[in-house]
Amino acid sequence: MTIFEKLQHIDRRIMYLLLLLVIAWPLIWGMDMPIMVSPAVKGVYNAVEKMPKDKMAIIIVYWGSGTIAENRPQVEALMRHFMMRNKRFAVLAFDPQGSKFSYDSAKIISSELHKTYGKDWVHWGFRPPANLIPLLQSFPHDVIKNIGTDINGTPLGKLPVMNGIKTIKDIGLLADTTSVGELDYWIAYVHGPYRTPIVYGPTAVMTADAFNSLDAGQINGLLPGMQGAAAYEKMLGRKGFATKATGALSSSHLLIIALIILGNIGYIITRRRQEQQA
Amino acid sequence: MYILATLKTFLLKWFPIFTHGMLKPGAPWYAWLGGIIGDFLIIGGILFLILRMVPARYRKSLIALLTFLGGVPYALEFFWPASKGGDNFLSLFVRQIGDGTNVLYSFALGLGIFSLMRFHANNLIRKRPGWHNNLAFFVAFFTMMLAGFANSVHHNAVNSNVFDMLFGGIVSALGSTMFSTIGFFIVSAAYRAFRIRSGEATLMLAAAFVVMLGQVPVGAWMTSGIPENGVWANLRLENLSYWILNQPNMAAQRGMYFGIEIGALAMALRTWLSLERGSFFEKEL
Repeated sequence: MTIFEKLQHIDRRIMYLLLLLVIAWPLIWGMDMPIMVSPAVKGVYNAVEKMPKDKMAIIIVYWGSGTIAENRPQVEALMRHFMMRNKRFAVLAFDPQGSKFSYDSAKIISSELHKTYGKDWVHWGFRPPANLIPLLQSFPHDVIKNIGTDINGTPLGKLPVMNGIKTIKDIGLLADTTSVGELDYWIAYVHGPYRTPIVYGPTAVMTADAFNSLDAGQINGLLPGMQGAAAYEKMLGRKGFATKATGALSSSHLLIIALIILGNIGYIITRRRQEQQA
Repeated sequence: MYILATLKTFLLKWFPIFTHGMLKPGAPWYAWLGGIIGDFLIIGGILFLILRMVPARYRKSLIALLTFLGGVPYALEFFWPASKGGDNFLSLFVRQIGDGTNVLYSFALGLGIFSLMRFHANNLIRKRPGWHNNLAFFVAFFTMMLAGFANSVHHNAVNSNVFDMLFGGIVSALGSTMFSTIGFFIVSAAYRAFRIRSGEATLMLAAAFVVMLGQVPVGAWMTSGIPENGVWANLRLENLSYWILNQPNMAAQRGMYFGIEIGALAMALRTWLSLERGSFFEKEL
């Protein structure tokens, strides 16, 4: 086997080891890179800025431990932004793991920014995903009645954060962070009839689908995976996990590109030699 | 008159107990339990009797009629003009059907657990190869269930720590690990799949490189020498990537969505009108 044939058949264990190294190295030793803010990310920032203070935002958490690296930084950046601007928000989870992760994150950020649970923010807890459409059909009419209690079992009506929040018209922004892609339901049941602004935080692989809704104005902004979260952190002026992890993202993408180029060099040269011999 | 009055008294007393839909909030738990069981017995019994009474050749027609009637409220509710509040006379009904759907979903959960238990118990009892995996299922299932119940019913430091250790330390960690392994397979798959075999493949590879680099900071760094504003800024990798996603990608996605949605609409109509044919629909009832 010539070197060019070998280039086409690199042992996958070598590739796995290289990937492990290029991911671990920036995470351990750091790798500063310029982070660019796209118009889609600016759209999310502006939507939060424009939300009236008398209204409440809902952060949808529809992700679990599988995509925690991408979705949690998005949620944390959003929470931080709301708290920095003294704007109320509620978290509604459709994944039991995401419910716990988002609650833990919110507790840490609220403690850092001296915010109070029940007054500045609330966590509505986990609802089964099968409940999504019935919930979307009924809760716009009476938010408190249909959500009922918060994550700790406290009736929502007893929490000061819910003062003045009755129907979907009192919701100023809906931030959907997801690894599932249920955005269409939110657009159909919430944005369509009530024109509630939506911002979207999908995983990176789901980003390509979301540009339709962004262009159509159905969503105001988009956070494409971890890179989107890093850009949002940059706009907030705070380096979080996403900013640190973008180094690993860069190095792993470079590795994939390098391997593809090597494979193709081997393929092209081998093919030319075979053609010459023929 | 006496018979009617007696019937009315009987219905008022017992009907709410057997049909939970008529129960008021605050009714005792046994009334709810009786109501739910009553619902199943009454509705299920009536449907079963009708199905049995109807001659075999008309059963499919009956099911088709019920399927059609089941879908009518949704279609009508959607197209019927709404009042100022955004509702029409069918909206409440549709929301109640939604509640009923939730009950059906909860049965699926029970069915899933039952099915899993039966499968693993069978393998375990017969000591089939890999039986220790079946045992691991039962250990994991009951440990997590007990920890969850204990933490909910008696929320104290010990129960909370045990639950957190199992949930955060094992379940979540396993979830992240499982998903992370995909990254390794993607590298291997991308390396093997992306070969410049044709003009189209070359174009796709070039677009993939631009999007991959434009989505990460290293891409911005590679073309950071190009001015951020003006015509030349379009050649910066992050801008090229954004253009590919926002223009050609979006056009292709929209084209695909049109096709998918028209197909889904046709499929929904075929199912609603019982026009769909296949192994299940052709079965003798």
